[in-house]
Amino acid sequence: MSHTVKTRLIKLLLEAVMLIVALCYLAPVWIIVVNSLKDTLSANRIGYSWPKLFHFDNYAQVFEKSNALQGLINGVVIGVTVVLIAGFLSSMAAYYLSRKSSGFSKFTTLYFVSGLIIPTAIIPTYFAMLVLKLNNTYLGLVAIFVAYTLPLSIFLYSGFMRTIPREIDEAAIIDGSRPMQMFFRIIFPLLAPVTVTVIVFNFIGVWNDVTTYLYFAGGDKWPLPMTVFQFYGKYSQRWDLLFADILVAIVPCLIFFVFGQKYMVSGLTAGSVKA
Amino acid sequence: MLSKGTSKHYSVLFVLPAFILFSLFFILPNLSGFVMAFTDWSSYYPLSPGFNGWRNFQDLFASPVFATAVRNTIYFTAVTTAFKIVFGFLMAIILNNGVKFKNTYRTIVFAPFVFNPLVIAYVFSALYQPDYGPVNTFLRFVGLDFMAQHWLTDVKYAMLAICVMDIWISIGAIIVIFLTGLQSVPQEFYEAATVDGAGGFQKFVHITLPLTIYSLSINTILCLIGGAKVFGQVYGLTNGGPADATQVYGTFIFKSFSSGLFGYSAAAGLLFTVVISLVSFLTLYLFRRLEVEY
Repeated sequence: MSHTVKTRLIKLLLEAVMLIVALCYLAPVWIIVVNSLKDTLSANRIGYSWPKLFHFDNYAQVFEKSNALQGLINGVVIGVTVVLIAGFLSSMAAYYLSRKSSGFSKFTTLYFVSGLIIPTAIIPTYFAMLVLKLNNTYLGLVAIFVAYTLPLSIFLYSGFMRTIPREIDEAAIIDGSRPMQMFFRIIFPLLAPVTVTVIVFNFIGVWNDVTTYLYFAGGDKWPLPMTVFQFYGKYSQRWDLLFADILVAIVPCLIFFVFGQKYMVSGLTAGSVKA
Repeated sequence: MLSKGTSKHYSVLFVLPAFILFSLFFILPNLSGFVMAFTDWSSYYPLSPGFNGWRNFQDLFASPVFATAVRNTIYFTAVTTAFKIVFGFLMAIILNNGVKFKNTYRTIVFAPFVFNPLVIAYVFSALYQPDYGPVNTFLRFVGLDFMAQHWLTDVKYAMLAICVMDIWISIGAIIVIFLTGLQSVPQEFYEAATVDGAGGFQKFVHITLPLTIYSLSINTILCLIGGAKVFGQVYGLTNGGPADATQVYGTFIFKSFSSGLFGYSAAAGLLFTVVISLVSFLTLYLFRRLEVEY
């Protein structure tokens, strides 16, 4: 009897703990939403109350005064390009590396895996970009991002590749397929589940990057979240506009999160369970 | 057996584009860091660096700001890693033991993973605001007035404030990884232990802990590397201020870089790369030895 009462009490306590934790996450969102609709004076008080009068024009002002629209275009263009190139390059590389067992293949696997642990050398990269005249260009950003996303993408693809039987390759070869044709028509479609994970992971990574944009590109190449940085510099005393701008910047992420959460979890945990 | 014949079909062309790109923008810069760190390269002579021996390293070790940055980075990494691992593990266990709305909670704490740390930092700068900020408002509301501080401008509390925000951002990802680890433990083990009369604590020490050591090691490495690399959080919240009190390694390099001291920043970057790589490989090796087969 007393045992079940105790278990129930503990259960109740744990529920309460999780509820409080959840509130710590929801309260800031609430604060952003309500204050983004107030006038400057009351928004600067950063309160919880529902706005007395809805100032939807805050949002109109944000789109007028910030680079939000340009940022959205930059983010999507850079993100999509990187995701496409990185997806093709890493799936092809992973295919070779997991099928071939030569010395070169073993070395190259380690070569890419090192990128998961060793930090990026920013200053020397800056020099390389300077020599190649790639600083502050879309091409330079895409090249760097693809290079940075390759290790994890190859790692994810390699893990999945092991589940695809070699017999499929051999059957295709007997039927007379050429290597590239075989890969894109037979193997690549089978990789679809992990491809989605790689796409979601890489896109979020590029979209939310701070360091690469700060070092290698000017404000006109920045994606939506980074435009908040410019906006904050100009309107640091106007929380009505700032909160509206922040909300504009995080809504695409939220939408993306709702659809991509499953894949983010599988990407994140791919390496964390012993196979 | 076709293996020998098929292996011709795995053309090196598959891996070459990735190999070249990765070499050009990751491996070569990392290697040339060993050279660049010993030059006086600066924005004044952008394309004509000259060697200056160990000068950059001597300057670094003589700089008080560098010392602060190293100390803060270690403090930040230690505090956030310890907290995320301990409380992340606890929360994963709570979620794994049948709390109602388990998936909702997991989704909520995981969500900040998709937001830009810089944007979150601006939100927190509002939350930490001394007069009207919700953090202080709440503390005054529950009668803890003495705890309401100038979070971001007081040297004593600024680092702590940054740590709290970082934990808020990334504990969700840590919980998700722990949860997957916990779910992979075969349920029969617990049942057998119950039959043998093991208590909750014994089950944790003898079953849960050894069988989730892999996710523990992944999480520890993620926290350590993430902590050492911290940039956006600090850059957005305090930008190293007040008076360099919250300078961390990442912001220190960016500051030196922005003032045009490229060779000096490269030296700082090289030290970072060497130390982080060593620490990561060592941690991986240590955890590898703790793993058990089952």
